[in-house]
Amino acid sequence: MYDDRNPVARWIGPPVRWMQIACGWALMAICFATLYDIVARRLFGHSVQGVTELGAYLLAIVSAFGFSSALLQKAHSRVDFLFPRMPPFMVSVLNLAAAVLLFGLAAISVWQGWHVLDESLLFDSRASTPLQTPMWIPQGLWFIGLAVFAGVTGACAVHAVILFVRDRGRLNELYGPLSLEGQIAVETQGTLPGVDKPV
Amino acid sequence: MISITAVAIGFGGMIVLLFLGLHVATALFLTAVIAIQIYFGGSLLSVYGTQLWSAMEDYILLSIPLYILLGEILVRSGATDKMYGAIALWLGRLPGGLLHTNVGASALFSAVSGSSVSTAATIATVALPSFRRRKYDDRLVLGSIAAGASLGNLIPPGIAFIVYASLTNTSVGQLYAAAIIPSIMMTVLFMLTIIGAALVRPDLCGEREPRVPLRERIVRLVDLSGPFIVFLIIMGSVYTGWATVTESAALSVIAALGIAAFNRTLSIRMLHDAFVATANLTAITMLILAVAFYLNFALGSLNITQTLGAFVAGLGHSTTGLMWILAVFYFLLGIFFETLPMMVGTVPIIFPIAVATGIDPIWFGVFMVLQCELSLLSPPVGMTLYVIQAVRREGNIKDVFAGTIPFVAAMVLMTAILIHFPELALWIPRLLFGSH
Repeated sequence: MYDDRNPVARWIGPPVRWMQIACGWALMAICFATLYDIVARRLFGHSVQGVTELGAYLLAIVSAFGFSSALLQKAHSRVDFLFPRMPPFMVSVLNLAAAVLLFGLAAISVWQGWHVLDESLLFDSRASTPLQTPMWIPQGLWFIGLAVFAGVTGACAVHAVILFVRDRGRLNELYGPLSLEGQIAVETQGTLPGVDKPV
Repeated sequence: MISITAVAIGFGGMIVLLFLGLHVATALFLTAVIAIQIYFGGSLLSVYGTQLWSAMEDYILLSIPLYILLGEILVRSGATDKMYGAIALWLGRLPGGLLHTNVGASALFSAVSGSSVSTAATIATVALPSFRRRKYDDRLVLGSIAAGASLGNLIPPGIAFIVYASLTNTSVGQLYAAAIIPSIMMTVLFMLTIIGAALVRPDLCGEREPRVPLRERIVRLVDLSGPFIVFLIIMGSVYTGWATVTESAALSVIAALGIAAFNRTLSIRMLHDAFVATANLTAITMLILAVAFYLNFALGSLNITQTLGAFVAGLGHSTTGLMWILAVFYFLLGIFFETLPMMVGTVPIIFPIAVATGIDPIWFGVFMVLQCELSLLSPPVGMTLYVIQAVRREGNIKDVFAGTIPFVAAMVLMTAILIHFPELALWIPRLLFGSH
């Protein structure tokens, strides 16, 4: 699900990585704005408006875009304790089920997420804060993240169904739980070796 | 009101879904959706979108990516090697020698990096070569690294407390304050375990380290200053009231940039790697957490709190008795589960039980995180153990398992102490925040 062997990952990996780097710079900006805010509060007794609000939106956007990338690295948590003790056919059935049901979760998320965005657009909702942020901006970015996630999980689910019929070994390889080496790489480096080309 | 049998079936069903290897988020979501379908006929599904948005745009939870980013920058800044050397100078002369350094360095590093797995990998890489020539018992060396790394979430600041606080509406600041004494005691207990082993079996602990002049030891303290400054910034700014927990996390990221710049490891490439890692690790946590909020909401709508409260009252257990039952339950669960799924999967059910019994939510939070740490350390499932074995590249994983046993025992002892002396957790929060 993560490496060059997987067509879904090859296609969607680079743009998602760029989005994540953009989010990283936004996080840095929030950090420096926070520093300025604290200093201003202590020394000049005034507070910069909106750091808190923008930070909260940023979390929603960072997370939504991270969903797809973490998926491409097979990094979303699964309890795979029983897998080595099961026959391969059973494992491939469960891997198929995991892929399809995760698509279900992502699809419901993007469907319900659309209602949230749609309502904000319809009523031209603004945040009840000094910034009066038009809600469609943060919610729109969040929604795009969820939509990408639904698209990626959907593509993976279809791919998993095809592999279930044609090549169950490969299904377990691409859509099984992350190998130990992979888990270590994700936990210590945050990404799998050889997945992302350096930017 | 939902019956206790239905709660038990639902909870059991969720555990089965988790064991079937579905994604943790999927298993939690399915449980919530099925419960809602049965009891409300799907009408509550329409609030899922709003729930998802409000769970994900939570300023307090912004501290999760910030702490992860802090850890990612620190891990890449090359502060570890120097830190390990400096701690070795101070702790190396105790009975058990460099084993204390493993616990001390892992504890310090995991406290600021927030990841037990990163800590285990980094410290094992630095430590294992220096043990090869010194004739220590392999198992104790491996066990002490795992033990130290497992302290990461208990020593403030840690992400586990943020997750607990957001699921239970408790204060992160109070939880951090409550964790101070238990985390110091836990570290001391680990060190006593090593001293005990060294006194009973001196042959396990290699040669004594040569004495180093005090002057040199003091000079080398500079190498500890980086992580220490980060720790002080976070705790200091929160407890002086200068900054909220999230703001202090933002400050610590800037401090980490300074440390990386000082070590001449700061570069755009390094930052971009740290950003991508942060986004991925944040997403893993947030997907589970966002869905857990919905499960929490669904269970709340089912009046599960009253059901569980009535059930627990009917059992007639004392607080202490119930805590022991929970300790055994978490110990067994921890054999198979990692920290986050274990906490997020059980808090919606267990927390109402605890509250109904009159257990203090802050105290329970410390207990809960301690149990999560125990789950990391207890074989055979625990990422840190496999990470250490992977870095070691020789011998058998069974050595690591055997090495953790004395430290697991120390952690069980700490659990017992915490259960019988809640004041250890509650004294500092009361001092700082008044009664809660």
